[in-house]
Amino acid sequence: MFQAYFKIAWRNLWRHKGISAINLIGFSLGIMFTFVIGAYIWNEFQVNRKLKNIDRQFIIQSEWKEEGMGPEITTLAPLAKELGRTYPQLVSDYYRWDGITASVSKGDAHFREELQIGDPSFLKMFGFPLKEGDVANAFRDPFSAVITAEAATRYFGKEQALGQTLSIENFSGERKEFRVSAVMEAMPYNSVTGLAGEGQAQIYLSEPAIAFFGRARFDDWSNAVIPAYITLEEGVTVAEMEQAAKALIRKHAHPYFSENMKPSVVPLKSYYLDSHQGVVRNMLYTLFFVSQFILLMALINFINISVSASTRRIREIGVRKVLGGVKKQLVGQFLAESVVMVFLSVVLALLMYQVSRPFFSGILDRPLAGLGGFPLYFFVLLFIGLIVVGILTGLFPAFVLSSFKTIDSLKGKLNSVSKNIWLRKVLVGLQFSIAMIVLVGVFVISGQVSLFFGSSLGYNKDLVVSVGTPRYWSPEGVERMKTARNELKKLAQVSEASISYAIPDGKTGGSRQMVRAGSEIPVLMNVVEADENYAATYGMHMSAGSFLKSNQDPAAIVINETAARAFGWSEPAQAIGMQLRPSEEETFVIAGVVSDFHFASMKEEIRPLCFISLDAAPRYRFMSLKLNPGDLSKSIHALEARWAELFPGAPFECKFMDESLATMYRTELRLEKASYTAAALSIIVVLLGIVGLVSVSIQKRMKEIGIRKVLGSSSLSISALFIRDFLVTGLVAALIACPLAFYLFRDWLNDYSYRITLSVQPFMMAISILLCLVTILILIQTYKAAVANPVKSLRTE
Amino acid sequence: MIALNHIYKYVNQGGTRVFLLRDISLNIAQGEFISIMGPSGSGKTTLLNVMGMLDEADEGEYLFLDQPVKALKEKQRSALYKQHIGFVFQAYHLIDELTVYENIETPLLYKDYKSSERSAMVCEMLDKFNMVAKKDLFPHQLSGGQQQLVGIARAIVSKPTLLLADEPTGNLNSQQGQEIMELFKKLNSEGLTIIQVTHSEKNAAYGSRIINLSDGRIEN
Repeated sequence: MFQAYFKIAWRNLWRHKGISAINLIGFSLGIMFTFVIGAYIWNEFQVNRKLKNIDRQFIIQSEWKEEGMGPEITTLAPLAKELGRTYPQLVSDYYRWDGITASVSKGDAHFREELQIGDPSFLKMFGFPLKEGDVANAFRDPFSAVITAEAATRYFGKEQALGQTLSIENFSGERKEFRVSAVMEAMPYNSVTGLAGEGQAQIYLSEPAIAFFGRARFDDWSNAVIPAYITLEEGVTVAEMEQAAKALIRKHAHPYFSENMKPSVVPLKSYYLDSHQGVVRNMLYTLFFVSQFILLMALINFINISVSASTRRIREIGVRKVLGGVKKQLVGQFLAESVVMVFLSVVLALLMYQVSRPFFSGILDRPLAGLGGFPLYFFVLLFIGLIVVGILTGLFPAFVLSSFKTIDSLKGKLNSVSKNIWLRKVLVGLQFSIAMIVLVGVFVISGQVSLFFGSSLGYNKDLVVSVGTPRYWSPEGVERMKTARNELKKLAQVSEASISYAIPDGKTGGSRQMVRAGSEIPVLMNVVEADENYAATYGMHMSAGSFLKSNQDPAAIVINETAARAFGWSEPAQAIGMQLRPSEEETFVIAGVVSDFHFASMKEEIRPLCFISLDAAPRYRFMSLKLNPGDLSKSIHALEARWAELFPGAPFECKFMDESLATMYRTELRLEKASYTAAALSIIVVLLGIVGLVSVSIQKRMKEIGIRKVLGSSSLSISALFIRDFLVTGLVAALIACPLAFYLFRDWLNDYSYRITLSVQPFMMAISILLCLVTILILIQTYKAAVANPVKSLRTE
Repeated sequence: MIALNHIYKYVNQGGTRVFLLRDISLNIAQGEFISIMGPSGSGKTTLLNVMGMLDEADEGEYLFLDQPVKALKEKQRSALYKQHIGFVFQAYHLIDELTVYENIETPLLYKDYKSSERSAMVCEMLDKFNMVAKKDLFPHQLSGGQQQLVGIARAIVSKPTLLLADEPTGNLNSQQGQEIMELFKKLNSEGLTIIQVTHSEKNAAYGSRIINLSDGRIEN
């Protein structure tokens, strides 16, 4: 019996190849997208899970009384070690690191690298596997370096690097040879090797090396920028741990910390998903819902086309009943057909997934596991899901069709089917609504993203490149740097050049509280060390006074408008010449007020910010260069050549401001790309569904078309017959979709302090694009039937 | 075998009741070959469908093998139907996606015969109708007469006691029609009860009894 069911199912699919293919492809697309998103989500959930003892691994973070008072993802340097020493019953191990960027060389190969200088527990505590070397001795020598296989390949051309040396430069321009003591195997992204952002450190040095780099030491209780991980003993609670940490801070650190900062112990297992207000988790939820909606649309197509197509078989059902088939058996047959269909769709979807994997990996910026990478239970679940979906989608046509009266179905009467047209319209309307919402989303998201890169930045990012500089952080170093800057500025391709500690990519050097002379209210300010060319290079406007000048009193300071307001000056001009005091001993004099610009993401309000002279604090990381318009790659080559002469042995890594912004807005950019994909998919699915429905409908209305033509109807009005149906549904769907999309995307936009206004335009665009596509599609499809000779269609009956 | 007592069937059309069958009383014995005749719309097919349990009478009593059909439960009626009745149609109503062999086999599938029994029974039919060579062809590859042969083979493969035929030769030319009638006669002589609806006097003459219908009533 079953064999017979499947046989006829297969022959039916084969006989109506066109519609079967449409049905299959649409459904497969939906399933494939679910696979892609599923793989992505699974991938993201795996982050940190591979670390040893992950259930007991925690990271210590800082909660500050006020946002911006101090770094949040790090803690006081000695805290973790002190916890381990004082409470061995609570903490079994700890790892702290200081992240620095340094120039690393091997022969002629120079690279700027993120390094971690940290505790020797690094390898053992998280169980990172080694290709070469041994865990116990990896960090014994103070000038040893543990590197990843990737770094080994970069410097030595092969993964075997044990005993080789790398030359690393410190911030005073001194170089030292570090011996490779171990090579780590490639590891998936995790929050230990890459805490902030997306990159992972490739070189790990041992704690004593910290002195060589002149960084604050790990036993300094005022050093609050050290990431710290601890392994808790079995059964220890977070609350216990936080109490202990609080007690230690009170005992050892400056009261400023115990008053303003609360240590928080966060499980590493979920840290990645939940950090930064759960931005990753939110993204995953968004993608999950989008993929489920697209799957739902595909499912609707599947049901709609199956039902329409099976009404064609009403006569066969009648015959089967006459031959003694009872309802149960007929239902079984239809279910078998939809199971076959679902099975084929899943197979096709798996193939599509495998083929399109690199494409989606690119969009989502993550490697997606191949089919072989999925666990076995995934396939078992898939198989079960497949049968369930097949049965659910088969149920509707099965019961509807098999419950007709035998005689009616023998005559091919479809009276009762007309009732289901309503249901079908609702389903199609639902599809339209989803597609419209996704389309509105595309316009809103891309509108907001172009705001990030547009003129509202407050400065001119065009043609500005930044190059990481070597670091000689001393007054002499600043002088040398300025000489080099002036040399670069002489290049025909360069119009402005500036040295600074930070560029407008959201990462300031730090912040300080300053008090206006004669007032008690402190204002927390981001501090950027910069030279006199910064405003010119970035095309910033002055609201009052002037920017920093060369050979000026180092006490000159330039603040932004927000800072001026925060200090209580309603007009920027009032601030000029006033004094600001970060501490009792220091005094700055305001030389100018710069118009507000976006230093950080538009998610955040513009914060008070100030520029101080490099003469006051000789710290710098970037050379920003404004290029003249022209052949950019030539300009960059010229820059690079001059750079190599000025800084022999220093890597030249330049980034256009656009790229720096893209890094800052990577989540939004990823969402934008994902929304394009989702829109493309949902439009394809909607259109496929319409193709399917219309072609079935043409088959069924062949006779009607013939009669209308005999009565003198034009071809166009025949097409209009079909189009009208869908347009009415589409307009009703728009009525539902618009308010939903409005609330949804208003909510999304509300996350941004600076956002586009939600106008009518994206809604109109979404609706008209979709409806135009539908109209054109139906016109093309019905054209053949509409111009056909009616004698033919009438004869077929 | 069949006893119809005062059967009425009607539909309501725009407030008035239109009778399809009026006061039909009829007895048919096992082994008869009945031809039902009458003009279009006289209720021939309706009567056939009522006797074949595809349709139900609105009034009156219908006994099939002494069992009151109306009072039977759906399941019992279905069992009775499956065991005893075979149908042949004017438009053949073969299943397009199935081969000749599979079309004939279909009723056996619904009647839960074992696989070996099925193939024996289907082969017997193919043999009897000289269609062994055509068993793997699909309906559209056959002529109308051959398709109707398959239709008949399918109707009688499970050895029903009653064969109902609704204008079995209506779509065939006269020679093909004659062959079908000869076949019916032969089947009847082997003991099968046959009731056919027909327009043709010539075909009706093959039957042992002719029933004339007019406006839902039996004439004479």
